[in-house]
Formats: sequence, C-alpha cells, structure tokens
Amino acid sequence: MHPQIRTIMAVTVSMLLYFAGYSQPKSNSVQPSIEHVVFSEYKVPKKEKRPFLLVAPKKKIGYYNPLLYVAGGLLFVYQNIFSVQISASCTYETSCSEYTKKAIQKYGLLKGTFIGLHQLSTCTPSIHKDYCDHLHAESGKIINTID
Amino acid sequence: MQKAVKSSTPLINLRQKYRQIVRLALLAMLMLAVVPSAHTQLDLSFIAHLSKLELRKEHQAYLSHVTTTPDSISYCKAKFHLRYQEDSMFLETFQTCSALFLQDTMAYRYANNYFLRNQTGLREVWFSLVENYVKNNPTFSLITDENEFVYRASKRKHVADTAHLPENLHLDFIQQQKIKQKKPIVAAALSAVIPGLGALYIGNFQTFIAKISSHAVFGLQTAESILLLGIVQPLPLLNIGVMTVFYGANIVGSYRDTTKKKKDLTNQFLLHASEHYTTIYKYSVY
Repeated sequence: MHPQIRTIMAVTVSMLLYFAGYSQPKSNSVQPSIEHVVFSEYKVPKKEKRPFLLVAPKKKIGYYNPLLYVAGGLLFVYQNIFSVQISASCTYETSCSEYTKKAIQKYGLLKGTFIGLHQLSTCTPSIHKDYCDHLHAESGKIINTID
Repeated sequence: MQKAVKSSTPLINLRQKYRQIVRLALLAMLMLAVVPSAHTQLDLSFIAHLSKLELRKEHQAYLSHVTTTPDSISYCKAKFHLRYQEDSMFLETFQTCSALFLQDTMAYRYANNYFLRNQTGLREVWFSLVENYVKNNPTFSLITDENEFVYRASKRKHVADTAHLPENLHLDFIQQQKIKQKKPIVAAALSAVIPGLGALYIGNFQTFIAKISSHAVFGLQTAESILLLGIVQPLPLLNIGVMTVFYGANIVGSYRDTTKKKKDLTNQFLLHASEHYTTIYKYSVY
C-alpha cells in the first residue's frame, strides 16, 4: 500500500475515533452525582409511550375484528414513525391520532373513526376562535377530552 | 401475747393501706388511659389553625382520633374533604351531616361556589343532594345563595331576562341561553345537506370554513378522477371511499359539536359566575 494512502487512512480512522468519543479528554466531564442538577434544564423529555390500539377494546368481539387491527396498526405506525419525521404538531392538546385511538376504544371502530376524522378535518390554527376561553390551555392548544 | 398482737396490728394496717394505695394508683392509671379519649371535645380553633397552615396529615389524624358526637365529627370531616378538594368523599360525608352543614352559611356557600367550578358530573350531584334534603325537610330554611341561584338559572329553559344577574355575566348567560335552543339533530341534518352548515348553525364559523373547503377539494378531486378515468377504476373508487368517510365524519361531528358546545358554554358561564362570587368570601371559610 502506498505510504500516503496509509497515512490518510490512519488520520481518517483516528479522527473517526476522536469524534466517536473514544479519545476525548474527560477532564471537563461533570460528575455523575451533580449531572442531573447542572443539565436539568436541558434534558430532553422522555418520549411518550404510545401503545398499540388494542390494549383493551370496548367489547370482547373487538379481538376478532380484523379491521380494528388494521386501524390500530396504521395509527401505531403513524404515531411511532411518520409523526416524528414530519414533526407534526396538532392544534389540539390530545393529538388527532391519539384522539382517534381513544375514540375507537370508547365508541367502536365506525363512530370512533368518524369522530377522529372530524377532529382531523378541523385541525387548523384558526379554529381557536370557535372554542370557549376556558378550553385554551397554557401551551396555546385546545383542551379536548373524549367524553 | 398482748405485746405480740399489739405489734402485728399496725403492720396489717400498713399492708392494707399499701394495697389501697396500689389499687387507687391502678385505677387512676386506668382512668388516665380510658377517660380522655371518651370525653374529648372538638377544638374548632385548633382545626381552623390546622386548616390555615395546610397541615393536612395532622388535620386528618386529629379528626380520625377525636371522638365526639357522630354528627359533628362528620361535619368537620366534610369540611376537611371540601378544603382539600376530595369531591366524592365530601359528598359521601355530607349525607351524614346535611342539617349541620347546611346551617353553616359560609361552608354551604363555599361548597356551592366550589361545585360551580367543578366541570365533572359531581356538580349536578351536589345541587341535587341539597335540593332533595330541602324537599324532604320542609321545616328546614335554607339561605338563598347567589351561586345556587346562578346554577338554577343556567338550568332553566328559554330565559332571556338578564336583569337579575351581574353585568359581567350577561354575555355568557345570553350565549348559553342561545345555544340551548339549538338541536343536535338539526345540526347533523344541515351538515348532511351542505357539509359544515351544522357548524355555522351553532356559530362555529371557522369550523364551517375548514369543513366546506376540505369537502370542496375532495369533491372536485373525486369528480375529476371519475370524469377522466371512469367510475370502475381504483383511483376514483378510493376517492369516493375517502369522500364518503369524511362526509360521514362531518355529520357525526356536527351532532357531537352541538352537544359539546352546549356543555362548554354552560361550563364557561358557571366558571365566570364562580369567579365573580368568590371574591366575597375567599379566605373566610374554614
């Protein structure tokens, strides 16, 4: 192998190792005991757990409904993959997908889907004017409960 | 012999005295152990002190250990539950001491005001409990409270007179009374005719705009796909399916929105009313 290529490779590998954190100096590192105090403001909140739709269907017959599995699967995939990628932010406090999921769990597949889609079709920033003052949360979103 | 007898009698007397003293001491100890708990009385000033300093555990411990008449202890417990917003516990305890609690004007007013703010079904439970008690006991005279009056006003049908309400509640009251006359089934029917018209019927203009524009876009897309490809093709069929689902959602949503808006406007009116009347006796209830 040519010596120049060898040096370039060595430099590349060492740089990769450096940026990967293997050879970084640890003199500036914070003690683990006070880490939670120093970086408490900058901690990223834990990702919300979004379980599969069929945790507890309304009726036992729900376990044998294939459409419910399809709807649950679609919502699961959207919430865990697409929603993060498109950085979705809903006008409502309970997001449209979560609301649909809860509606399906409470009212069944057909009515639940209708209710979820109704919220989805009204999910625009201008919708704030149609809601009462006490339904506006501090975060600027609309408080929407399923019941 | 006489000497011996004489010397033994004081000894016997001493023993008897010691026995008596020991018996008395045992009795005194027994009394100390039993009597205080049997004759403790409620120290209301102490309860007020605990409540003001928000010493919840101490307050609870005091109420659970003190023994007095069941009515008065229930009354104190009811006030404790009201103080710390334990709604269902309060309602349960209230039923055991209704007369005593309703005679306490401040506590009764505070409870009314608190349940006006409460947006769960417990508001109705509280006011119906009071109403039932007054109905069952015609001799009992209950004071007239503004909070209760406002609640009754919100329940009445077709009342347009706002003269008996404070000015800052007029607008909420009129809105609440207007929405009461709207019927969910009419909203759903209107939405079936023109998508979003049901929302306009209940005064949700922005919802109407969002609905009609989304339906127009979907409708045009479906019509175009049918015109270009014919109806028995995958894309037009998919469009028709999506359009149908959104159309159904629009009808169900209009029905639901009407019932929800009725609740929301009533809650808003009662919330503002409770805020208006709270200032009078905010810190004086313990």
